[in-house]
Amino acid sequence: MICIRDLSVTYDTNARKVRAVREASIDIHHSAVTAIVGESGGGKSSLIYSILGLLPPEATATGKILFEGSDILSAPEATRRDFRGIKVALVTQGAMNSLTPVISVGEQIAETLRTRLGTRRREAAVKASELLEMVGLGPSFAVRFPHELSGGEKQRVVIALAISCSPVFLLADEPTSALDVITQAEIITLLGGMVRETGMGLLLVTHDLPLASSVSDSISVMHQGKIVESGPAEKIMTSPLHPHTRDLVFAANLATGRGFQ
Amino acid sequence: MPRWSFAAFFIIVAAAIAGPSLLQTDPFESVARPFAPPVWTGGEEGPALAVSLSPSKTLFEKKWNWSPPENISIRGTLSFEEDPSASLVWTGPGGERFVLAVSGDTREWLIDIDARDVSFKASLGVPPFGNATSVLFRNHENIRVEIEGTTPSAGKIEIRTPGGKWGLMGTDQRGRDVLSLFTEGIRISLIVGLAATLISSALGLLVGLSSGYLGGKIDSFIMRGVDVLLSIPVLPILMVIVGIWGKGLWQLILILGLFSWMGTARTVRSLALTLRESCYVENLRSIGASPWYILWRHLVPEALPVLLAAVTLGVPGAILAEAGLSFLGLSDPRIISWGRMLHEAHGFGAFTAGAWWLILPPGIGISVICLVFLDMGRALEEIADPRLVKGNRK
Repeated sequence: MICIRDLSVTYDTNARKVRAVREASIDIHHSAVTAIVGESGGGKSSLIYSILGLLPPEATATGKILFEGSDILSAPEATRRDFRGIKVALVTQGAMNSLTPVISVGEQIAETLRTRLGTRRREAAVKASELLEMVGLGPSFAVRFPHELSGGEKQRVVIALAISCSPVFLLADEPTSALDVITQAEIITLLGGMVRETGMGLLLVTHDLPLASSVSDSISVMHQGKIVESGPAEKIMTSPLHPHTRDLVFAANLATGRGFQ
Repeated sequence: MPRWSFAAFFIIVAAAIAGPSLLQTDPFESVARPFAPPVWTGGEEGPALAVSLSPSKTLFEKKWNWSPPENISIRGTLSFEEDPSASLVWTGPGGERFVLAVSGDTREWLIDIDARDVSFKASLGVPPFGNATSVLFRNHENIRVEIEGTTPSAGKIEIRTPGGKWGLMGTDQRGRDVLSLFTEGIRISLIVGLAATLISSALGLLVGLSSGYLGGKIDSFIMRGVDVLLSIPVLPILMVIVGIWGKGLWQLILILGLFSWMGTARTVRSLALTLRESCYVENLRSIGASPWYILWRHLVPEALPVLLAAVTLGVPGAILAEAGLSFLGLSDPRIISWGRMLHEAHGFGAFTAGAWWLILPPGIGISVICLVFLDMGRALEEIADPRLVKGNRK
């Protein structure tokens, strides 16, 4: 379990200080999908990057992030680098350029296995095709280059890359935002299925409330850096309490054609 | 992917390696008169004549299609087993017989004739200020020289005229063979071009990538240094450094390499700045990749097309810079490069002498080698960047 307690992230630019995350607290459980929903610029990505320890140098994070009981926010960089990929992995928006353009996707996965886990060359290649198969891509994809794949296929490769070292938690930062709705549904189903099969914990960060509610166990709504409401997905959707949550649900219903309720 | 430039590059390299030994002419030795044009050019002047008569070959005959040479010299010794009675007979135009020399009664017959010798002129009936060769040679007539009388048993006579023409590419101001100078120059130009560019590209890549990827204060510090170096006019600096370090080949390569990496560094840095923020670098960090691994395995291949462009533009640049420095006389005169050839052609008045065979070969050579490298750069860029290749194939 990852417990985030009173996490604040401040960006100290030359002009001014921006508090992107304000005293956020959230729990991420094994074998469950936890969603953070909020508007753009609401601090969702800052929260994810502080778990990974990849905040830009001008940002400072305070508070506690406990992984299996030990604080990782104050851990040295070397520890956190070992922690990344193996304990917690990130799924970024894959549609654009989440993959090195000059290396074939199979080789990218295999090389991750070789450098991170010390897998032998041949085993790594076999494992890479298995991982590609797990995310629904045939073995012929291993030799392809990123520019030869569609957006959805690239997103699947990014997921395969993220789960290559069997992380305990997967953080998905807007994994579907650049994809069409059918592909969105496929990717979300894939992620949800992997949580059930492997017992990974998934933190899904998105601005898409209906999408989050379709797969998540619990939803936290983030607004201007604060977590304004948390609870089970059905409860958020049916009886939102905070005005911002109500706006989100209202907008979602409008989009799906259910109109005013 | 067949590309003409690879074939051309192969031929150039082969010529650079095998050329000097195939030609068998010492590029430093004077072989004909200064500024002798190539033999295949038209005109009245004849080629150099170098034949020898010996006991096994006592006759030489040739059709002479040119105006008389400036001079002729006949030198050598013949030895006989008995007391000789021999003479060296020249049959000139129109069947006139000239006895050039008669053996005495010694068994060692020494012949030393120079057409500028007044007594020799007198023996041919030529006034002291006349030209003896005008009697011996005439345009479009045969010349014939023979040892008559007793057959010698050993020895050799050499007949030479200072040729007005030489070889495929003529001679330079010191009578050296331009063809061998040219082939010798390929090697130096290639070495200078490639070595200087390798140094500058490696430096540019290293500085540009680390500056762009590390960012922050290191970046601004390095880039201000680059700005300073870029704003200094290069040629005067090169001239000063040549003055301090000396004129050797390696000094030249080092100087050219150390003063041409800034452009590459800037381009690579701007690429690294963009790539550093790109999604895939973030992705690599999120699966625990170390900065050096990201730089080496993911950013260097991305920068390769840019680098190849820099290399292929840099090789011609370095060759031209070497030519420029040589042209100004800032290179080792013992090392022949194309730039050096142009410098000497300029310095010794090839332009006023109309000796185009001294200027065109190195000039065309430099242009061709630059074009070859430019085209190779395009081809290599397509190989290095899978996006370009696959895109073209579809």
